[in-house]
Order: sequence, then structure tokens, then C-alpha cells
Amino acid sequence: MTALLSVEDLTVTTSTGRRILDGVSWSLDAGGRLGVVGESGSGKSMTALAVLGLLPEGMRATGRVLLDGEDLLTLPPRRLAKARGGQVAMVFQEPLTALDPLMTVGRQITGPLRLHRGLRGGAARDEAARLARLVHLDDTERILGSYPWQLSGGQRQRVALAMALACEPRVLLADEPTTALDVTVQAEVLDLLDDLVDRTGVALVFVTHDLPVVARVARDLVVMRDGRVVEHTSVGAALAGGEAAYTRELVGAARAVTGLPTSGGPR
Amino acid sequence: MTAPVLEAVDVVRTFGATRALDGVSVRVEAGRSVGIVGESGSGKSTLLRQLLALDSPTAGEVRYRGEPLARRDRGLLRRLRADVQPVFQDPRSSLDPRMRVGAVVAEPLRSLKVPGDHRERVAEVLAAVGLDPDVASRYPAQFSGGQRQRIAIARALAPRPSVLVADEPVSALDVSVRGQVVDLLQRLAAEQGLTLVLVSHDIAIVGRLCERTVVLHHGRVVEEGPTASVLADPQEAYTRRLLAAVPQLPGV
Amino acid sequence: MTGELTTTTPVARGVEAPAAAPGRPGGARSRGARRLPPSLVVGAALVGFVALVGLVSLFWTPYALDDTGTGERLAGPSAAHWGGTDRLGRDLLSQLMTGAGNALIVAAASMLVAGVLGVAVGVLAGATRRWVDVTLLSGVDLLIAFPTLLLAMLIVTVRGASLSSAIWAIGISGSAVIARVTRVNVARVLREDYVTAAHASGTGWWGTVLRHVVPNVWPTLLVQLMLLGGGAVLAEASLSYLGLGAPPPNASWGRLLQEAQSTMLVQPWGAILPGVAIVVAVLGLNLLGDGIRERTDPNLRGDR
Repeated sequence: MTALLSVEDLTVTTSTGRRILDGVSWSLDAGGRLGVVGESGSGKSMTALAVLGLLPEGMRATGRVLLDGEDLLTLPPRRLAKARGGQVAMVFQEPLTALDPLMTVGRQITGPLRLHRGLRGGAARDEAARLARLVHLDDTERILGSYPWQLSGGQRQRVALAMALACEPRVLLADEPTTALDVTVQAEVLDLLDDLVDRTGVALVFVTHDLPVVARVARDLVVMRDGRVVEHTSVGAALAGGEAAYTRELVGAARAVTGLPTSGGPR
Repeated sequence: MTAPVLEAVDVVRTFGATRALDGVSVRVEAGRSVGIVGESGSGKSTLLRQLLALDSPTAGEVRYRGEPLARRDRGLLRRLRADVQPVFQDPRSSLDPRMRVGAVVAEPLRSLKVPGDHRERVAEVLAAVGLDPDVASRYPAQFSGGQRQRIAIARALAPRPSVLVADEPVSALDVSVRGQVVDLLQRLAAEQGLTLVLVSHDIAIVGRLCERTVVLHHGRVVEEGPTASVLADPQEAYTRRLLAAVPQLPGV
Repeated sequence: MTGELTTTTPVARGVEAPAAAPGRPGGARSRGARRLPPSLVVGAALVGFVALVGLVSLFWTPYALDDTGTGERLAGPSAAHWGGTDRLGRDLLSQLMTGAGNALIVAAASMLVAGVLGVAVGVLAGATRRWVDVTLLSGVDLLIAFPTLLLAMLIVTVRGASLSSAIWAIGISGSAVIARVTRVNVARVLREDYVTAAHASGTGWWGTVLRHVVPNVWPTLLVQLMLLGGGAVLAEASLSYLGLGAPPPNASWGRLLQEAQSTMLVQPWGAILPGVAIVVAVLGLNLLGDGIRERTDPNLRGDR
């Protein structure tokens, strides 16, 4: 059985010849949930950008990024743009910078609908409302008519998710999507992601430095360090004591810092 | 009975029509660390600015060692500045990018005109936070997030304060580095007899570091008590929600 | 993002590499930082060239400015007169050289005027009370709306046409822009956490301004001043062209252009050479400004 998205020997070099990613390989099945964890500088975000062909200027990627057997790295720009958004969508850490401040939320959601799915007028508006309900933006009418700055951080991230899902992508790449949020809001967004993957069947790649967060939504785990994959395993195996010493360190550090000190505390 | 080091008494702070703090009372007693837990909009940052005397209350008062802080009282304010030092959330923005680490750490010493050899004291506090004295000649941008937060802590330690007021000191750091900084704060509190006032949305960090916990919600204290009992037996629905939201690794 | 690219932190083993490698920026980066941006090099070379010529003109020019020589008028370039002569038979190259000195003196002096005035007003507006800010800013806005030319005419009416009148006119109108840029940047720096940290550890107003605000604001200001210098060269040329600059025999590129206008078809060099000189000086100052920005902006630095 072939994977939906597979990254093979992905290497990214800067113009000065420094390797930011070095032979990164992993794969994701349809409907899969992959967590990519690592510290700052591990290359985890760079991996996500490279998959989308969104590398910063001057950087070069080699290797293969296969989506359904088609190599995204060699795709001509127009078809890549189509794949991006249409097949693979992305959600970023800070939704406010990803949203246009001068456009209402409704128009931002209908934008990709028009572009990728050819929906117009009433049909586009209905679909936008459906998407808003999908991400549990319950006060739909009001929210679609608001500007991003009128919304809370959690609502903005939901809007970003709705936009990402607008084109019914097959892969959702989320880069630290909950890091900027409050804990209670983070918990809600994680539940939402969990629910969306279940309901829409979209495959999830969740990039974060936060192991406890990723453990909540991912099934498989890629541990990265210094641009390399240290371990590609399941979340359960990693938590039970991964093969790599580094994985065990990460798990240990996370346990030490996020464990509530009283055992009687509620989960 | 001695007066608390810092005390907010019925503090109200309004910005236009919003009441960021709506009658908040918090006592910080010497040697007993306090965690102030809340999410964005809870008023925790506003409260922190009050405790650091960077802002004055609309109503109510903030007391330092029993004396109410007033703008005019330069002498009292000066003693407070030397005795209560801040640590901020993001060391990327709390360290001046154009100052060498040595100058950053020495700044409170210079500003407060602390007598003694500043260079020596800088080396001392850098060592205390686990950094080599050589780092004094470098710029903040050359350090990782965790190291920068150590520098910020060294700066706070420099004038030998008795209270550290830390605003989300680890939430801008990688999870893997957070533990080290938490350990450092814990060790410093124990070794140097520091009292921590920790403002955080992360109830787990507060649980590690603070004896008492104050839960702030919409500008009011909704729950307060010894950390162990707040965590084990939360009385308020909001506190329970906070606790449930903390992402935790499932047990093995 | 930059942190992600440039720092590698070894993970926790109780020690986060305390002294081991505190931010080794990586060879690539330090090399990159030492390499000067091309705009800086080219800009400095152009400005340096103009400055050198101007400096030489203070001590030596091929001919005296009012020397009509053999009376060979409107001649093209020759061995005796490299730049040709004007309608009175005066040597063009000598006038161009003197013009270079004057252009740069006006640029430098008006940058100084604009810098001192603008920074003072900007810091006061950005770092003190609100009513000061509002009052000063309305003055600045008025000045920005006021045409430089009109200001120059006013000053010339009061003080007479001279190099210093041109300097005051250009400097004062330029100070408005500098004041605005200063104020915005001062306000930005004052919102930074490190300023709050400084306040909380007892640093006063002067300490904050000198230790944090000035060092973080000056690179931006320097760039703005360089751009202003380019503008000043142009403004000086325009003023002299209109007869509001330094009076003859003192040479100015603007006046050379004006004089050459009527004889352009007979001796085009008289118009081309001062035109090229103005372009070189303005381009040089603008490139220099760009180069300084590239060199000092931490966001543009790093490995690219």
C-alpha cells in the first residue's frame, strides 16, 4: 500500500551551503495523524515549508515529496500552486498574520472557494457558513461578517482552519497551531482538530515543540533534531520509551514540566 | 507579625470602559511564593504591572512592606525597585538587542547605583544561572531562547532582590528547555531565599514553583489557596476547566 | 524563524550547554555579516569621490572661477579645458569641482540641522507627555505641508541669497520628516519589554533614552538622514537654478544647469556634466543610506 504523502531524503541547503534539513524521510497514510516534534532549530517548520514549496528565498530543496505518487518538488509552479491549498493546506501559529486584516472573515473563506472550487455568490456563502459550523464557529452570521481583529485568538484559529479546509484538502499541515493560544482555548482547538480528522478524513501533519500537545492528536511521531529525523515511530511507542536516547530525553523533559504535581488532580 | 513584602488591596484598574482589575487583593509574604494563574484577558499582566509599580491603580492600593506606594514617594519606590525585580515572558524582546550581555545584566546595578564592583557581580550572577562569565561580551542574539531567559534572570538577580516577579517566564521557550528554567528558578528561590511571584496561564508550572495559587478570571480572584489544595480539590468550575485543559502525556 | 535557522540548542541534560556553545552563530553567518552590502560599497565610493573632488577644489582648481582665460567661449572639451568652457569662457571643470564642494557642504550641513532639530523634537514628542506630543506633531505636520521652496524664499527674503540660507531652508524642512521618523521609532522602542524591564529595575528617563532608545533608533535615523542628504543635493540645485542659492561667482550645479539651458544646443556639455554630477551625488547618498540599512537592520542580516 502506498502512502498519501511521503517525504523521501528531503535535504534543504541555504545559499551559503549550510544544510538545514538533512535526508528527512517520513510518510503519511490517508487519514493518518503524524506529529513532527523537535526543538527550535530542529528543522521541523522548515520541513512543512519545503513540503509546500514555500521555502525562504535562497534555499534549495532536493529529494522527493510525493503526494499520491506525484513529486511536488519538481512540479511546475502553476500546478504546485494548485496542489497547495487544493490538496495540501496549511495552518500557522499566529492566525492574525495569516488573515487579511482588511477583509471580512466571510470573504476570506469564500476566496479559496471561488478560486479552487469555482463556487459563486449564494453557493459560496452557503459553503462558507457550512465550513464555519464545521469548525464550531457557532455564531456563524456574526463571525462571517466580522474582521479578524474583532475575533478572539481561538476564533481566529478556527477561521484559519475553515479556510484551510475550504478546498477539501487531503492533507492538513499545522505548524504550532495552538502555541499562541490560552490553555483552555488550546484544548478546544485540539479537540476540534481531532474531530475534523475523524469527520473529514483529512490527513494531519502536526508540527510542534510541545510533545504533550502532539500526543493529544497524533498517532505517529517523527522526532527531529538538527535537521535530521531521529526517530519515526508511533506516539505510544515513543511515550513508552522510544528507541533513540533523544526521544527519551524529550519525553522525560516534557513529563517533568507538564505533569501536575498532585496525582489526585483531574485529567 | 510582619507586613507582606507586596500586597495589592482591592485594586481596581480600568482602561476606558473595561475593568481589567475589578477589586483584586493579593498578598505576597516573604519566602512564600505565589502563583497567579489566568488566561489572556484575566488581568494578570495588569496586576503584574501594579505589583512592579509600573502603573498605578484606579482605586485601591498596592503596598510594599506595609507602606502604600505613591508616585511621589521616590525613596520607597527606589527601595522597591532594588528589592522586586522582573523577569518577562519573551527573552527575545526583554533583552536590548544592541547591548552586550554584560551591560544588560549590569543595568539594574548602574540604574540603582548599587555600590561595589559591577563586573564582579555580573560574573557572579551569570555563574548563578549556569552561564560562563565569558558570555558578558556577546550580544543577546547569539543565544538560544533558554540561554536568553537565563540572562534575563541573571539581570533580575544582580541587585540582590528578595522578590522575583516573573511573567510567563517559560511559555515562550521550547518544552524541552522549560524544565531547566523552572528548575533554575526553583533552585534560586531555595538557595537565595527568593520569593517568587509567578504569573502564568500554565497551572502546571505554578504547581511546581509556588506554595500559594491565586486564580484570576475576568479581573477578579475566583479561587485562592495553598497550591496543593487548589490543584487537588478545585472549588471553582473555572479552575477545574483550567486543570482539565493542561495537555499531559498519558501515563505509561 | 531566524532563531529556528541559526541556533541549535542541545537538549537538556540538566545543563543546557552553559558555557559550551552559547550561540555559536555558525561560520556562514559571521562571514556573511562581515561581507559589506554592495550598495554600501558603491554608495560610499560615489560619495567619497564627490567629497574628494570638493575637497580638492578648496585648494586647487584648474582655473580660477572668474578666469575668462583666452576668451574661448562655449568650447567643447579640449586638452586645456577638460569640461569645456561656458558662455563667458570660464572653465567648466573648475566650476563643477567647486560645485561638488558646495553641494556636499549644503547636504552635510542641512543633514546636521535636520538631525539635531528633528531628533530633539522627535524624542520629546515620542518620550514625554501626550500634550507635548500633540503640540509638537501639529507643528511638524504644518512644516511637512509647507513647501521647501516657499520656506527658502521666505528665508532668502529675510537673510539674502547665500549658501547658509539654502542650508537653513533645506535643514528646517527636512527636520520635519526626521522628527516624524524619530517619534515613531522612539515610541516603538519604548513599547519593548526591555524598556519595561529597565524601568522596573530603576532606570530613569535619561537612562532609558541614552541606553536603549538612542542605540536602537540611530541606524534608522542615519538611513533617513542619508536619504535626506540626497534630497538636499537636489534641493540645493533647484534653489540655485531659481537663483535662491549661493550667488556667483560661487559655483553651484543648479546654477550651471540654469546657465547652460540657453546654450544647450551649442555646447551640450555645459548641461550634461552638472546633470551627471547631481545624479552621481544623489545616487551615492541614496545607496549609502540603503547600504547602512542593510548592514544594521538585524532582520536583514544573517545567512541569506
